[in-house]
This record gives sequence, structure tokens and C-alpha cells, in this order.
Amino acid sequence: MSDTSDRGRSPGWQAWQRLRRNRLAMAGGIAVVVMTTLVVAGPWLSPHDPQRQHLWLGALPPGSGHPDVEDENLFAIGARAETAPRAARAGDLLISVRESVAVAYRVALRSGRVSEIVRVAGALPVDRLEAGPGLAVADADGGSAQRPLPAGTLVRDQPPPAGWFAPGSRVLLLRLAAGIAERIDYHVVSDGAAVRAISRAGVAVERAVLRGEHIERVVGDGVELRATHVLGTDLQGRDLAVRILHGGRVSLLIALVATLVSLLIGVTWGAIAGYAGGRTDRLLMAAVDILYSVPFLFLVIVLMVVFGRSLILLFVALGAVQWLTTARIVRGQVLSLKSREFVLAARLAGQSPWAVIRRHLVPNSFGPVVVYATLTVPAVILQESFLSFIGLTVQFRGQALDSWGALVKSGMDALTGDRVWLLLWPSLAMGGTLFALNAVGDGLRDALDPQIKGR
Amino acid sequence: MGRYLLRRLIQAPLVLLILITCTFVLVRVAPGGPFDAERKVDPAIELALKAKYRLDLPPWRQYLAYLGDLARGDLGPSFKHKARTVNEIVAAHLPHSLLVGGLALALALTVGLLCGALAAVRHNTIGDWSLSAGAMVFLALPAFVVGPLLAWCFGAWLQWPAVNPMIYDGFQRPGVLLLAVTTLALPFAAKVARLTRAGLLDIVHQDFIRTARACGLPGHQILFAHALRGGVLPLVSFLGPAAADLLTGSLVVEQVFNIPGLGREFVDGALNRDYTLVMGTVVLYGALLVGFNLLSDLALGLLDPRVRLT
Repeated sequence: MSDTSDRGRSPGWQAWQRLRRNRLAMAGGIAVVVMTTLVVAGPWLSPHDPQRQHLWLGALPPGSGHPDVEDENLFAIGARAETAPRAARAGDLLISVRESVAVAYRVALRSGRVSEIVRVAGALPVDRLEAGPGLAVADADGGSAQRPLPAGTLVRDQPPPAGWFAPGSRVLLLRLAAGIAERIDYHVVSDGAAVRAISRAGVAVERAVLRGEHIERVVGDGVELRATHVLGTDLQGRDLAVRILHGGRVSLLIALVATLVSLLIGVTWGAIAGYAGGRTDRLLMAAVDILYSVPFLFLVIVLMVVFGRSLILLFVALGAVQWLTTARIVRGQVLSLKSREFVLAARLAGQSPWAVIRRHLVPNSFGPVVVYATLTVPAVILQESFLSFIGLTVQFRGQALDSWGALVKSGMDALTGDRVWLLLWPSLAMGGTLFALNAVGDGLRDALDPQIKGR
Repeated sequence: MGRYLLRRLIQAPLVLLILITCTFVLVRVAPGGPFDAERKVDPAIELALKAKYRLDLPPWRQYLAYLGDLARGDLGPSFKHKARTVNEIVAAHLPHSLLVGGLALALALTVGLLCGALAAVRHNTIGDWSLSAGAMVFLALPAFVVGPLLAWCFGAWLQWPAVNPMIYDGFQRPGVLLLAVTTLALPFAAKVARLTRAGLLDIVHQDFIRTARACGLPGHQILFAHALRGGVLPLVSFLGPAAADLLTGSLVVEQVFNIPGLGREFVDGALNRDYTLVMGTVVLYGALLVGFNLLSDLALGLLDPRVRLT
């Protein structure tokens, strides 16, 4: 920078000026800030729950809405409420199955007896299973043809109740469990064109306008209840926008923590190598050289296969992949810093080597490290998404944390004809964020080190 | 050159040994064995099974035996496909991966070099900027975003007969092959273009180019005969590590386009906990990678005299 006005300014100010002139980097920075805010705040502000499924909604195109029958007023009836809800008719008993979840059981028969009952989620073996109303049975190959069952009990090593399934068949039972506290019974009374639901206490709660069996409008407390899905819904009827934001949380969280882990390892390693010098330095850096050519991502895959897909493991594993360059950068910085007067002064003042590294060398070498870290974040997002794309989704407390990679994957799997939004939006969210982060990182690097501009 | 070569030659097997040891230890400490069936197996059968997979030996002897097998090129039996060895699986699926990977590498190098050189020649023009911006976009977009989008665009949307249905069948269906290769090649082409452009720009401002220009040499001769040799140096050192990206990229591309390559087998093996298959594939990938790194280091040593002296 040869502008006369720059003379006498601090290097930091000059770097900031250079960064400000880089429009791409500034736009990227703004995009990153916006995206982070959305991802952090969005799921809280959104009325939709990223986990709750509404199978009957299916994949709705972006911008479409439907009467909000998901809250306290699910006008769906009976055992098949989750898969095939039917609107209420006057005189029906309505059960609000808010928070209802389908629990699948796999039942195998051997020579006419129930040989095993396994709760599919968590693969929990069960000895007996009470089948009240609400149990649906899927056909032999686990497909979607479901029929409700009469009441009865399945007991292991006992023949199943007569007429339940053909001997030797493998069946999937769906139990629609509703949280006790959440379950409210309503009676439906006719009121002209509209149908009102009246709770057991006799209070009119909601009002729905029906045409045939189709629910046209739902009114509660004088307000029409409608749910709108800006980006549409996925195959399970979950709001796509909130799922993308939630996936962004997972991706960004993993990226941030893994980057911090990589900084921790890399800075320590590089600082020790640079400060100690001599044989220690050569040894540590030779190790870095060798580790550079180990294909770590494959090791991470093996790690996840062997130890399961835990969040902590992924933090550490992805962080451990990324620290090598940080170590090199820090070593270079420390090498050039350690002969400076202030370091000598600190040593003469009797500070231990560790204190010198921590208080003087590491803080002073942080500029380039931060620049490299901003480029590490998109790299980690990419790797994590790659892992969840190939099916190694992170599990947390028994639930899959669907990050952007998993969303892109399910979008790709659901891709037939006009359902392209399922692929497009997650791809755009991820591609845009990666591009913005890269632009910021490149811009920062160019601004702090104008010599390598344009690489 | 001798010392440089020697160091690389020592380093390469060391890397492989680290990789093998890591995977071996990981798989051995894995909870649950491959035969933890629900039913109790007859003790005699269990013993025979354990002997087949050498689980009856102490760990260090298993390790040595595994190293011995590897040295003979034997990756062992598969845990899940009971009747097949890992070697058979590799032999059946690797050719597909190699075909797609090789074509992608060739495409990426051609397109990348051309675009990079073009951007450098037209430095600071609209062509340069648009090429650079395009390279940045494709660098940021991973294969698993580009692949499905390409597949949707040409398959479901434009309904191209060449890629409809999207079934991979080698050269029998060149459309699908082309899409897969393009998906795999794009990020490399972008990286190659960026490296070529930066390398050439570095060179063209040096004195010997100015001298050549002053002597009245034509532009293309300066570019191809003088500048390119120095300009491709960063590219050569990138090609080794790029092999790793090519391999991981092929994991994705094989999923997207249903290519029966080794990458898909690897992913399936990982999801099915087929430990020996995963181990064998990782070791194989590691060997490929180390080989590529070695080759690119050697090429760099041949092209750049400065490297030999360090």
C-alpha cells in the first residue's frame, strides 16, 4: 500500500483497509454472519419442530401451507392417525395425538410361535407386547401396507392371537404411542358447515371447516391456524427450512469445535517444536511431514465404524486431522519471534519455557493462525458433511443429528421429478456457506499478507 | 538428488506402516467380534472360525501375520461376505473406480491447465475474473452437492436420453460416465486452474521472461516453452495429495451414480462393520496415496533443481 494516507498507520489498520476493499470477502463475511445468526436463532424462532414427523403431509413444495392440525387440534382419528389421518365427523371421538410417536416393533415367528419381539429403535428385545388400539401391522416384507390390529397380546414362545399374521412371516408393528399428558379427548359436534370439537369438560376449543373429509380451515380462539412451510417439507412432512437451520447448527458446531481442537493440538505442537529447536524440532516436524501423507479421513471412517458415531469422537477426530498446517505455521512464527528482545527479556526475568511460550510466543503468533483457522472451518464442514453423506451421521442420545450432508443425501434419495427442492435448498445452504467462508478466509489471508495476493 | 530420493523412499513405507498399525489397533480394540451371533455357536465351529480369522493367536502375532499377509498382497477374508476374500472384492470393483478416477484426473488436468493458462494470459481482464470466480465456486462446492444436482439437471429435468435412466454401465453409457467423471473432476480442475494461474503469474514477472520477450520471442512460445515449466511446479506437488481427494471424491461419486466401484464397497463395508474389508481398503487406498505422493515428489525433484539440494 503506497497511499500516503496509510503512512504511520498500524499494520492492523492497513490490513482492515485492504480487507474492506475486497468486496467478495466483505460480502462473504456478511453472509457468514447472517447465516450464523439464522442457524443459531432460527430453530428457536420457527414454529416448526425439526424432528416431528407428519407422514400424511408428505413432501410439500416450497411456500405451501396447510391447516395447522399439528397443535392441540389434530383432527385425525384412530389407529392410523399418523399414516392416514381422516377428518372428524360429527359424533366422532377425537383424540388429540399431539407428540404422538410411532414405535416400530419387529416380530419374527418360527414354527407358529413368536420367536422374537424387538423394538426396532435401539433394538431392544421385548418379551410381551400389549396390542391395544393403535397398533398397526405392516406386511411381510416390512412395506407400507398397514392394517390395524384387534386388541391382544403377543408373548414370546407363544402362538400369536389367531388371524394376526401368516406363520413364518416377518412383520413390522407400528405402535402409536402418545404421551399421557398430551392426550386430550374431544367430541365433535356438528354446527352447520363447520365442525366443532368440544373437550370432555364441555368447552368448545377449536373449529374446523370441512369439505367432505378434507380439512379446509382450522380456527382456534378466533384465529385461523395455518402452518406455512417456506421451503416446503421433506418426505416425512418435516419443515425443510427448520431442518436446514438445525442441520446448520450441527455442521457449524462440529466445525467450530473441531477447529478449536485442531488449534489446541497444532499450536502446542508447533510452539514446542519452534521453541525447543534442535533435535526436538526436527523430530516433531518430521512427524508432521509423515502424518501429512496419511489419509486421515479414512482413519476417521474406521474410527466411527469401530466406536460408533458419537459427537465427541467426531470433534476430536476431525480436529486431529486438521492440526498439521497449524503446527507448521506456529513453528515458523515462533522461530522468528523467539530471538526477539521481549522473549529474551522474559527468559532473563526467570520465566519458565512453558510460560514464555504461553504468554509471549503463542499470543504473538496468532494472526496467521486465525487466518488459517477461518479456512479450516469450511474444510471441516466439508469433511463432516461428507461423512454424513455416506451414511455416517452423528448420533447424539440415540438420535441422528442430521447435518447438511445428511440433508443433501436424503434430498438426493428423494429426487424424482418435481421434488427438487429437497435437494436444492440444503445444497444451496451448504454451498453458499462454504463459498462465503472460503471468501472470508482468502480475503483475510490476502489482507494480512499482501505478498501472496491472488494465489 | 540421492539424499532427497532416499528420504522420500524411507518415508513412504513408514507412512504405510503407521496407517496399517492404526487401522489394525482400531479394529482389534473394537467392541464386539464378527461372530457375536444371537445363537450360541458350537464350540468346535467357533474354534475353527477363530482359527480361520486368526483370532486365536495373541494380538502381536496376529499383527505380524497380518503384515506378512499384506507383504504377500493378501488382504484376508471378508467378515461379512463369508465366501469371498477382500482380494476378490477389490479385484471385482477396483477397475470401475480406476476408470472413473483416471478419466477424471485426465479431464481435470486438461481443463484446469487450459483455463489456468488462459486466465494468466488474460490477467486482470473479464475472462480472468470469471474463470477465477468459477474456480472458486467449484472449489467450495463438494462433489456430493454437484453430483446430485448434475444428475437431476440432465436426468429428471432435461430428460437427456443419454443419461436416462441414470444407470452406470461403463463405456456402454457414455452419458452417465461423462456426468460421473465431470462431477469428480470439477473441484480438481478448479484447483489445477488456480495453481496454474498463480504459478504462471509468478513466472511471467521474472527477469528471464522479460528477456525472452525483449528478444522478440512469440507469446505462445514464451508461455509454453519457458513459463509453463516453472509454472507447473506448485501443480506437481499438489498432484500427490490430490490423489487423496480423488479417492474420497470417488466414494461420493460412486454413491451418486451407482457405480459398482471400490468406494461403494468401502462405504457399505463401513456401514456393515465388515472390518477386514474396511481395513484392506484403507490400506490399499493408503498405498495408492503414498505411491502418488512419492511419484509427485520424484517428479518435482526432476523438474526443480532447488528441491534436490535441500
